[in-house]
Amino acid sequence: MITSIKLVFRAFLFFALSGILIIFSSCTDGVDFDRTDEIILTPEVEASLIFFDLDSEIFSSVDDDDDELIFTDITPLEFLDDTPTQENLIEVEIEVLISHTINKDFINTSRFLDRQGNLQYEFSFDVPASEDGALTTVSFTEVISQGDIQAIRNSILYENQLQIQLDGTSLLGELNLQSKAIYRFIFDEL
Amino acid sequence: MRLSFFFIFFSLYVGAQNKQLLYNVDDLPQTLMSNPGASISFDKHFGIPLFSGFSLEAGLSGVSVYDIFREDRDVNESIDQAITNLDSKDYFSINQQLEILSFGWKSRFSEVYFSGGLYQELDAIVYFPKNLLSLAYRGNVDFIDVPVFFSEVAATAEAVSVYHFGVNKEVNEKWQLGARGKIYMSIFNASSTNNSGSFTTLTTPDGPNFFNHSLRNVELQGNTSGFSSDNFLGRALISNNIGLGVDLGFTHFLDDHWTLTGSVIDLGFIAHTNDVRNYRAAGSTSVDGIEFEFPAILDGSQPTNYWQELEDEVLDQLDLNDQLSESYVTARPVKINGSVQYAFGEPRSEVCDCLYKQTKSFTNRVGVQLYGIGRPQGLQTAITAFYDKKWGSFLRSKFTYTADRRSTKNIGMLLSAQIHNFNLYIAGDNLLEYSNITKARGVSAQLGIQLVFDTK
Repeated sequence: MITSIKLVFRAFLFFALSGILIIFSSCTDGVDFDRTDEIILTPEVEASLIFFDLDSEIFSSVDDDDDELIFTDITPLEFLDDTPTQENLIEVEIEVLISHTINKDFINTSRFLDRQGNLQYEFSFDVPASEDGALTTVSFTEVISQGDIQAIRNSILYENQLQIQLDGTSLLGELNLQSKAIYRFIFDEL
Repeated sequence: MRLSFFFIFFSLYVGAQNKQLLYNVDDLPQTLMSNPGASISFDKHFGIPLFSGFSLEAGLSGVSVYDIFREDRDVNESIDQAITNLDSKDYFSINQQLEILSFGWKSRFSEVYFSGGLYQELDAIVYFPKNLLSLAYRGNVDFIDVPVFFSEVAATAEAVSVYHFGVNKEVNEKWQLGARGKIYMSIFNASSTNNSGSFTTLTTPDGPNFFNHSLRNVELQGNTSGFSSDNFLGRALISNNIGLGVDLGFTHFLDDHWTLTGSVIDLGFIAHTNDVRNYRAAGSTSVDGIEFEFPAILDGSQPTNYWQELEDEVLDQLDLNDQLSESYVTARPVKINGSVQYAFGEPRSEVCDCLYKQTKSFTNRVGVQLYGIGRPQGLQTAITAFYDKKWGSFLRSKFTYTADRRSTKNIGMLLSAQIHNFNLYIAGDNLLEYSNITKARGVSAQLGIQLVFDTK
């Protein structure tokens, strides 16, 4: 009986040591697990922003006796206060597309504001009047990066303004504005 | 020829949780756990509690650790390539089993072998949701007008302890049948399967804005049980989340040399009724952006909080709930095994010491084994070629070559030693990868020590 137990013990040792030998003789050549520190995620998220239509009915409802007519509206963009925006947003590219038949020149201005309504960042572009009611399309792209991106992080409100120059004649036409943004992030602390 | 086509077709699928090295090893009691109708060459066994059987298998398909962390390439480039090369059928899985009690004996009155015991099992599989991963890693710029389907999301993880009792009977000279009943005690479970729906960023040239972002027919669900208390050991012995299952198997002796075997393992379910938490998200919604309506100009009213309106509209259209506590049922991952083998060589002794007749009297066996397991994203399968040799009455070896989705160069080896009534075995596969284990897409090991008696 004792001989049997010794045999079993020796065999067990043989198997156990064989297993340990196999495991410890296995190599992990050519890999570096510290490289997890180098992992960087750089997603780009493309999304619609604001849009609206202004038709002749709206224009006829407003007083056009002044020198200029201003259409302004504003919305919160709550995601600007979220952690990824605050910590990882590095660039925003905004494209605004205006298609219109308005018979006056006008200026489109986009603004980023903080909660108190203080201006943080703005960009604007001129839109020429439509000739003879023909559809006129203007596209404008603004890239906000590096030093200016902090202004976006400070913002929570987005405002769009149309400033139409009047000259005493009737304001005619329609307008469609579309906009989108590409948000570029870097996540380097995973 | 028809059989060859079947084998090739079968090997195109995946393999996991495969115990190809222990299957049909007739002097190991563990062979009864993969085929209750296996041919066996002992008439009593008793496992050393907690030491009679331990197995561990972990693996991932589509990519290896080396592919990600290799020194000679930028890690981000490696991740990028891995995401590109992966598909939504690729997965990470782990399975671990520990025999707590194991025993068996042959009836004095009939050719029936009874066996039973208790084992613990941990099993988890997580599929790579390729497109959702890409969406998180690269953003949606590559997915404009391309839907991302939530059916990619599939994962299960569970720990169970299993009480089992089985019978193995020689029906006649040609057939040996077996069955095993199981009672599952769920320790914990988490699962998210059968998800559906899609997310799409669609260009809309006809307006009203550049893109329409939509969630279509979304049905996402997750269920958990057993997580709110940490009495895992208590639930391993007696759990309120109980299931039933059965294993079935056969061995068919075609003649003295040729044998066919087959089995179905874990045909069962677990009902989760206690300590349950459910998570649901369902519905359809779409967003074009924020539409300005200029209320201050048109009627002098206060500016609209468009963001809040948008959020409310989206949430109205989606049914989100993380406070449910509804019972649910999970199916056990069903395993199927099959083999055809040919026995040859000199008898190991003049007097056959076997419970059954045909193949035991030969020292060598070669053959092919098939394996399949039911997983959330479909059947995963493997094909194995093996050579099994008995070296006298002391030592037995089995060599396997296995092909599955993870690897086509998986060589495995089993050594089983019999010293009087003590039996020891150790088995491992993917041996070729041990020169650099990080290149392996799977590793498995099984080992144990037990008492095996052959009183004839």
